[in-house]
Amino acid sequence: MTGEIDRPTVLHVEDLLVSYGAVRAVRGVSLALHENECFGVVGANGAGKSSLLAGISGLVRPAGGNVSLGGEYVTGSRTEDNVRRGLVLVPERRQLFSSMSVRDNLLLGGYVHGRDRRVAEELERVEALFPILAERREQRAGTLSGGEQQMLAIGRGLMSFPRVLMVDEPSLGLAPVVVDAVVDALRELRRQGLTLLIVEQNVRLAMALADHLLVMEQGAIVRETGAGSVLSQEALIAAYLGGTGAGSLEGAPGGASVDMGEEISRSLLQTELSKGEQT
Amino acid sequence: MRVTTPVRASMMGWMPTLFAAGIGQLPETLASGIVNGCVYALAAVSLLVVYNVTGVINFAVGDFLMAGAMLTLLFAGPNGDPHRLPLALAVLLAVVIVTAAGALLEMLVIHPRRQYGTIFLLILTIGISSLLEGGALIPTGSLTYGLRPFTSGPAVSIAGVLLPRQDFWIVGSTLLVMGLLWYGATRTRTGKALRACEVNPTAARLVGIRVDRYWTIAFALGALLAAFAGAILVPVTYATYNMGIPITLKAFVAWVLGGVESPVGAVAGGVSFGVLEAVVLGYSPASVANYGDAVPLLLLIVVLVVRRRGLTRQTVVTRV
Ligand SMILES: Nc1ncnc2c1ncn2[C@@H]1O[C@H](COP(=O)(O)OP(=O)(O)O)[C@@H](O)[C@H]1O
Ligand SMILES: [Mg+2]
Repeated sequence: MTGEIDRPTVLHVEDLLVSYGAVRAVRGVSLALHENECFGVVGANGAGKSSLLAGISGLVRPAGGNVSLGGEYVTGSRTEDNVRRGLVLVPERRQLFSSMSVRDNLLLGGYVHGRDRRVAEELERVEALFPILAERREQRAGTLSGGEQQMLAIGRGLMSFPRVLMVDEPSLGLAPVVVDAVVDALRELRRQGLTLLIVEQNVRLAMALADHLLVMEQGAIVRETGAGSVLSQEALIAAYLGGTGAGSLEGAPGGASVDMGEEISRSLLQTELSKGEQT
Repeated sequence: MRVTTPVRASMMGWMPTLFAAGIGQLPETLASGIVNGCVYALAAVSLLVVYNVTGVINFAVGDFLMAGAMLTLLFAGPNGDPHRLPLALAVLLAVVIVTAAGALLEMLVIHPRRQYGTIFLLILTIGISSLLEGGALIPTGSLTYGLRPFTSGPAVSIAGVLLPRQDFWIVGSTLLVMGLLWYGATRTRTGKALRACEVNPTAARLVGIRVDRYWTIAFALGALLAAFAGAILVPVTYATYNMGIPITLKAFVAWVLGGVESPVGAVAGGVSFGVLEAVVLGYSPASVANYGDAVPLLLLIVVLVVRRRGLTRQTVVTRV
């Protein structure tokens, strides 16, 4: 139970279908994201999470369904144009301009806003949020560490003045300490009022951030959970162990191993969830 | 148009015997190699800009150069023609027209077919090359044309080496254009966006860059560089409708020599190729020098065998 939310819906996705030829990657996903809300989409590799974001952002033209941003239908319009509307994607594997400087990467993030004064102000804000990016200003993006690259990718997304920021696997390939830094930054952005849609294989990270988790499997949303709901928690774990059956949870009470190799202990889930309740 | 003042033959291959020079003329030979090398460098950078952004090898580069030369001739006219335009204006007009033509050809011919892949698009540019050649043949016939140097006067002697005045124009304006290009690419929003399309087109789309438009901009810029090269070259060479293809081949070799992806490499490749060609043609017997146009092809084979990545060392940037 998430209760009634009276804030306006920013992003509305209805029955979205994304196909690559015969491969149907997203099969009818719907979601409604309110202002200053954070949704997390979790699911195993190949579940269709990235394809969902590609369909929403316009990187791939959806085969069906609808996407609307602030009441305006943007289904099938190109990524380049959606960025102008504030629908911004921080893609899987960062996709930086690796041979260009950190500064130029950030400035290119503000490309659609031209010579607007706000771009310079936003640059300052991003560099305040990620001081390491200010330090590495002149360095080539390709020479940054994985964590710094992720910060740069998020920073570049922020430079486009997103109404909704979609982040695909921010923790991919990062060491736990670095993941924490990225999570802290995303939390801070939420506190400042940003609306987020985060895709993650790392359930802990998603739980630490999101008000609402969607579990994706084979292109569809199979479970939804609001933070703190014990019932949904069970459902979530069951969904993760879907392949091996719910029984394996009892079989491994200390720490059930999840299919993508991520170790989740039940107590850890509890702590993360109670943290979520506090914020 | 009439032939006016052919100052001297260039390395373009149709009068190579003029260069059967004595050993005493080595400095002059090297200087003329550098001068021709500037033209190859401009054409090589033209190939590079188009290729890096679009992945298309623009076989029409030499014909854009020819068009720049012919239009400069048309507007600047022979000496004594009362209707001729001031030289600067003639060059400007020629460059603007060829640039616009480059943009239009991209929009009308290349872009609607871009999904067919690189080989198809290469063949399409060969078609554009023939189109431009044919378009030039009709008004010019198969005659050759020359233009007076930008500044008149005898060759300048520096340390006993005689250098035609146009040489200074060619080298100086090439340096200027390269400087402007560097400034544009590193300091302007459009230049950075153009490089963004080269480095990572997907990321470019994700920050709102309309990559299609930058295809057009890349072709326009490529045409501009080639047309400018043609305009500064025409006082030292004869222009003919079919001068383009040998230049395309030489620019291609210069570009490959420079390592394909680096602008500095393309310039270095252009100048070294110019010098090498001048020396080979200058010191070969006429019977060999008559096969001057085989030089780039031979060199290309050598380069591809010896060093497949070109002469410059590439910094390998991982695309994460
Ligand atoms: N460009 C593509 N072409 C063809 N199939 C693709 C492409 N991208 C993803 N897929 C397929 O779509 C499915 C979902 O992939 P993806 O959205 O990347 O999943 P996730 O992000 O959850 O790992 C997978 O079966 C994958 O193989
Ligand atoms: Mg993915």
